[in-house]
Amino acid sequence: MRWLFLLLITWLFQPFPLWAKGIQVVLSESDGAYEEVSRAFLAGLGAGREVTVRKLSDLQPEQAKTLSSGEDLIVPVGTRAARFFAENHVGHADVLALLVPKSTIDRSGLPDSHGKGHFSFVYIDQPLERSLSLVRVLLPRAQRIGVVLSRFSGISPDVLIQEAEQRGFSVSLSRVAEAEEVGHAVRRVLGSSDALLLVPDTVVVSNASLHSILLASYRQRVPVVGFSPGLVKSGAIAAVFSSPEQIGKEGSVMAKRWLATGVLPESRAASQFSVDLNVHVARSLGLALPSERDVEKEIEAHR
Amino acid sequence: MVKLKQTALFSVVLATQASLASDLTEADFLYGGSTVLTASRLAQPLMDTPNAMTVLERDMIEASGYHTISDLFRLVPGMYVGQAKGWFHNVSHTLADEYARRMQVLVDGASVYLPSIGGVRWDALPLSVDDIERIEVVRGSNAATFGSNSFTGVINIITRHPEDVDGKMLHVTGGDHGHREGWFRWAGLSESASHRLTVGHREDGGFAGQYDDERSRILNYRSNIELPARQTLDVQIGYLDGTRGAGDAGELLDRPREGDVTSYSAQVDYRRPLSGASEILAKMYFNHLETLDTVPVNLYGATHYRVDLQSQRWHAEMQLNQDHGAGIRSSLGGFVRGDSVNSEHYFASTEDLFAGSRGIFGHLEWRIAPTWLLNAGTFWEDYDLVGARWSPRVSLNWQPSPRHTVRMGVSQAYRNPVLFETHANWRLTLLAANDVPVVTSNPYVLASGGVAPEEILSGEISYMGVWPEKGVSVDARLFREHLANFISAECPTGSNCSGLSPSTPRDFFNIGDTWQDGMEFQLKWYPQPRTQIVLNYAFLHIDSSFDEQRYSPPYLVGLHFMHQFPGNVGLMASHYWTGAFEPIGQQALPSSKRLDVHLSKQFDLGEQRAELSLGVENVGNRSYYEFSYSPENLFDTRAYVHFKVDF
Repeated sequence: MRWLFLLLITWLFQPFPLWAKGIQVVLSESDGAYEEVSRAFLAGLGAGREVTVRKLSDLQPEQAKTLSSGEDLIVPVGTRAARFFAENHVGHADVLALLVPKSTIDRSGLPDSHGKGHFSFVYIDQPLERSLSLVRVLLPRAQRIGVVLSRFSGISPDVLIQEAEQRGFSVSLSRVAEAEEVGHAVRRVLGSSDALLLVPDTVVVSNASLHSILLASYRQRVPVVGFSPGLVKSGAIAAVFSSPEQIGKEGSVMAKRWLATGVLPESRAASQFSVDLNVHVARSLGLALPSERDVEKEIEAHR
Repeated sequence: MVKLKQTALFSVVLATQASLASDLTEADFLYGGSTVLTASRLAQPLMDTPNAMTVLERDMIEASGYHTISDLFRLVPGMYVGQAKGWFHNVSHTLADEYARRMQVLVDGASVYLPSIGGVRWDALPLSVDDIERIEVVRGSNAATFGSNSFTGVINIITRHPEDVDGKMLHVTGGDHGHREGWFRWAGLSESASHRLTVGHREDGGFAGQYDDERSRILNYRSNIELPARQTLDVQIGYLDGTRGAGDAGELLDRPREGDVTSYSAQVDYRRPLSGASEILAKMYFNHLETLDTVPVNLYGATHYRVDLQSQRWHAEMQLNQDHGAGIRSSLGGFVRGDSVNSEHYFASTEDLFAGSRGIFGHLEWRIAPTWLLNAGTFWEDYDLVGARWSPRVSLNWQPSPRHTVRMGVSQAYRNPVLFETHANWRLTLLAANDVPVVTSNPYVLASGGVAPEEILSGEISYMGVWPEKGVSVDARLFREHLANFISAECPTGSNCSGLSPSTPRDFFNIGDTWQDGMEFQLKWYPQPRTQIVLNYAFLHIDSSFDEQRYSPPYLVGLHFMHQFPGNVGLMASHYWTGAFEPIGQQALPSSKRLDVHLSKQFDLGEQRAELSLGVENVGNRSYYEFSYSPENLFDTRAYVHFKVDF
């Protein structure tokens, strides 16, 4: 019996659960950002894990179906890979999609008729309260925030107003149905805003509209707060965002939990974030901004 | 092996088919970012400017409720605003003068300074307060950037971009002294252009004891056109005509009459971004002002005489702005200008008098070290009447932190004599009914043309600091200026220059020099987000070699309180204290106090936003003398009601 007992002990103390759980990472594209997510994800997981990293271009739908019928955790990185697995999901495999915009997920929500796997996401966008805290940290005396929303933003106006009020802001809100209305809507809110908050919304923020939004805001000396480093480069004074690395890291935390308990945690934004500032535009508007590090610390403190 | 029951909390089928192009992907977050606000588009922040500057933003302009452009300058530290007649205002920064001719005044960068007699006819500007985006005031000389006559200050009124005003606006005002004003603005967008058209009508009875009523019709059009490759063209046209009451029933040769005034202007601005952060700007403008007073007389068989004056200016300039990297930005340009005036009354000729000028200007902004910024610039102008001169300016800004700036600057500037100061031949020609000359007086002023330009050498130390968490900002300026070759019309010693037909005319001379030492201070405080308190304080000490020793108020104080009440109600209260002084050519004025209040309420009129407000000037009827120490210039309490609607 002793060897049975020994076997039991070894089994209890082995670092991995009995059933072998692997992780299948699939990158939407082969460029830098996706690789960074993958690297940070792997680094966070630590050594000795069973992880396979593939490119979406190397996968056929049948393979996706097979994977979805397996036991491994599927980790698509990017919208294309996430879509691919959603469409070809026939089994019970859990899916942890990284780097996907929240509004895209919300908007496409339909009762599923395919597999019964649990889907969780690490969103690329920031929780609203973080963006609002950013505005509060940069503009301590600001009172009114201007926002233009279309129905594609994925943000509920009521939630926005509530969160804003908690931070001492009133919201000047303008809703649009299509791109042609954006200019007029922006003009409407600029007149009564201490800052313009740009949220991820392809109708409102597009290559076509960005130029005139930034110029009009600048002319009226209203600082713009965006949601990506690209917007800061264009002329927004600041943005809070999670880098591919930070998203990969968050993904690894969730994957480790899945490995330990078999349950995939709820979808969330990355807990780590960065702030980019456009000091030139800010100075030109007469704003003396703290350093990016200090802003990040302040936002943490505001939570 | 136990299989955990999988609950599909979040089973999603992400639609494949024609998924609306409006679906975001991570690409929208990761990529993108071509610089829209390039370095050349960015205005120099106040902390980097070579001079102490005050910017009046639209929110303060609207909160004040002032409907006369010149009244807005009461909000700027160190500016004296005087009203000689109902429609005749003078705005000056030190050297208060009826024809405040020692400041440059621009509308969107185009000078509205009168080449004939100097100064600005504020009442003849074809512009509404509603069309002003902001006003930038340089409190000091900066000819290097703004050209000659940027002597004691520069005012640049920036109008609202047509893209920033939407739809239509109606603004009507009614108030004391028969004040009626109505403005209508229409703004629209087409494929690649935006337009704004404003028309207005204004009438006012002026001071109770003076014949100084005003009637004006105004039109202002501005259009911004986008051309390929991010080039833009901005076109502005302004027109004003109307009547101006003048005269005094008790004066033999200054009987009451309604004078005519007409002014029109046109301006074109072109901008072309170049590779890197550079751009080329080109500007052309033209303005024209004419006034005609037919003054009735009853003397020597004559029935009337005419006071006619026409001033025209055209100007063309080009400028290259470059960002060289390594903290160096430069601006280089050249201009050509022509001034022409015509007046039989003032110049004894039916011919146009012309004076041309041409010049170049350059400016360098160099961040020598992270906390040191150097601004150096110069302006070279060759003006027909006086020859060529350089106006250099250097200033060093020390910025120990982004919150504090100390500026030290020195500049030299010139004020060219205006055509009246070089060519005046001012006579009175009395005419009979059919315009036949009856008699012509001897000249009152005959300019021999020998005056040299006035020179100013000024030094300033200024400080700017902000404490954003406390909502406080401070602006303080200490300056010392020396004005040489002060120009004045004087009677040669021993002669008699008075009377209806003087035996000797007055002439313009460079009569002396003056030292001006002063301090200007502004404190802005937001005790809480809905309240703003502004304190402006200016002090000036004058030491002149000529008679006038107190030609500007020794102190100018303004205390402003702004508050936003719930329910979209806004209040602004402004109290002013002006020290006693003696304006040039006028009697001594006692010190004065004045309280202005503006209360407004915004509300929705169906789908439109509307505003009803009440403005009271000189609350409490503490009558004081405006600019001139005579009973006709007693300023009483005036109330105005405004109604504005955007639709």
